[in-house]
Amino acid sequence: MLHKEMLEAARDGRLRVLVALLVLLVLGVGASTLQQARSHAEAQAAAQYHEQDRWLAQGEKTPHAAAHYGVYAFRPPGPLAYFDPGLDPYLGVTVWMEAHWQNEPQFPSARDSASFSRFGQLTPATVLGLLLPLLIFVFAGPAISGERERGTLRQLLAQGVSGRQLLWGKATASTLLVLVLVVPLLGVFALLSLRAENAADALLRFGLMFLMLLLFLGSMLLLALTVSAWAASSRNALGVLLGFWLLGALVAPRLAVEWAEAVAPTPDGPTFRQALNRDLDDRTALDAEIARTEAALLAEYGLDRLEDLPVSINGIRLRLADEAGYAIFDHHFGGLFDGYLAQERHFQRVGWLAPYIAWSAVSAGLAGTDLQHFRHFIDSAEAHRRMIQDMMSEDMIRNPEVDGAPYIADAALWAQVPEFEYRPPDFSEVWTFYRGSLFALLGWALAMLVALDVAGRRLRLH
Amino acid sequence: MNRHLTTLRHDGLSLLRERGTWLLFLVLLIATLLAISGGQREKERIQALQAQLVQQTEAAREAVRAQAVRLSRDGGAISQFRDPRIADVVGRRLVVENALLPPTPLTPLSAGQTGLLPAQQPVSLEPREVLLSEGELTPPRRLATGRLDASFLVIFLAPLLLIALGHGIPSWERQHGLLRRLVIHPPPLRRRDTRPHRLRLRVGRAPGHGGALGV
Repeated sequence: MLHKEMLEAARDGRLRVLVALLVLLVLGVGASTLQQARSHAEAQAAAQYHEQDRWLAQGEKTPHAAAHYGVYAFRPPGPLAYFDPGLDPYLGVTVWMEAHWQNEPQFPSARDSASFSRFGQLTPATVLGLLLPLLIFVFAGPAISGERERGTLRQLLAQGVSGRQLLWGKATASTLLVLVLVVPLLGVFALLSLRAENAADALLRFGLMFLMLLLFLGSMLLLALTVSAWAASSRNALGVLLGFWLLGALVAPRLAVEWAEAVAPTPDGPTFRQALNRDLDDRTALDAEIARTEAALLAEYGLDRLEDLPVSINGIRLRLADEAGYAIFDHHFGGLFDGYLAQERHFQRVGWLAPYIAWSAVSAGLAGTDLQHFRHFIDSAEAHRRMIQDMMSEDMIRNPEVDGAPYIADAALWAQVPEFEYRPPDFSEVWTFYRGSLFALLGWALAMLVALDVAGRRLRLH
Repeated sequence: MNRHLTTLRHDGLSLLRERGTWLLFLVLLIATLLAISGGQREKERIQALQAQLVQQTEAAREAVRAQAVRLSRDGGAISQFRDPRIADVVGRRLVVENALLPPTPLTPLSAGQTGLLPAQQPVSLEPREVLLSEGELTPPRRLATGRLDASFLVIFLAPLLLIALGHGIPSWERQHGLLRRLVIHPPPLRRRDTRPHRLRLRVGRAPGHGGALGV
């Protein structure tokens, strides 16, 4: 069976042409996304370097003015962004870190794209996850129904080949063909991952990507053969498979997003900012805390006037204001990102119905181009901002005003602030977020194995 | 001309007799309803958002005016950065106006990625307010996936359904020997036309399918 199937595939001119086109497409698209990711990484590194220069060269000023002067944090592309840019184009690439404010990430690259990009970006992950299943459906769909239409199915079964042997033979041959196509392509991308900064993590991610892709493509192959065994004609089999592809890969993701947003709504921009500003503007608790602290300091030093304190009361007030703000930002930004991640979890749940959704979620997660990784960057940038604020406030506190003249700091203080260096999380730290999709892909593969076996048992001469 | 019409009617009728065609119609109909209602909801969302912004600005203006009157009348300490009696402070922070881009009448047909580009922009004396404005906070998954709107149906779904509907008909007819019979004997809808019509068959088929899908 295996020999016959491989021979037929090798003789099929259409298959050769389509496979050649697919290989060219993956390599062409891969070269393009690799170029984009490299140019993004170079721009990010250069911008971050110049940003540090700008910070160091800001001149003499009060530490608080320096905190307002601020610095930008630039987000590098995900570890495998060249394979699957995922949500990267729709996420801000920079955050301005300044005094008192946690700012929203800015400048998603999709805003610079042509309007047609809303129909999806062509990437190696979409070609292999979206178009290759279509190719599998077109060629594996008529595998059994075609034999039935030509009358060769009866011949095969009459020769003593069982339905299960026939189906498993076709499945093995088709799997080998898919492997012959996919392994060299992924090998090229795996070699690229060796050049990553954290090569061990990149290789682990790529290895898992390869396994998940095989699981997904294997499920689609088994589905095609099962449908082909059940369908009365090749036309029916193709119709069912094309319908499944249309609904599962094009319509379901859009409906899944609608559903996820309905189940876990997140605030729009004006509502979010209004609530944030309202909480920041409410200074009742902060003013009380400042009054308590001032009274405690006067009591501690046995003084009557705040001006006589050996520490800067303005520095202490700023530190208290910042600390009050941290809790408010954690509440609002934390809530916003928790909402987005809840939507992602709901979106991933639809992967049990439409495996393409599970594949795309896992793929973006492994590539480090999804919301989970983005939140890690936002949290890292915010931690860095708070560190700068705390350093500036502490320096102010240690250096009180003399005769009303403010303390002026210089480059020696600015140099103490470490440069913002972002390191994406290792996949082992974040993998649990994708376990729903991982299990969905595994579930689909197991279900399709059972379905194919059942279809094989039903395939009899009479 | 008669043969064109005959072929057209033959293909149209045979397609309409197929269960698959009706299934595709049903899918397309549901998708169209979903798309148009989704587009309409998106338009209403933008309008509601902009109305909310106008309301917020009006409320802020009223609050600032009342606070300024109270401070002028009763006095009281207030930070120079929050004093509503200072026009510069009001224009920079306390009352930020927004330039609004209203949705067009055809937004329900092509909502697209309305959340990607901001539909409102703060107008403030404070560069920070303008430069840091990110407009809407559309979930990134929504932006990456896109919307099920009418333009998606026209550009993606309808052509694929059309291909699904008609891709195998001539080859299927050839495989089953029907094409030869059809070419020699035109469809006998009225049983009066029996001459060969290869070209007419081809020309008539496309409008037949188009007509069926158009229904």
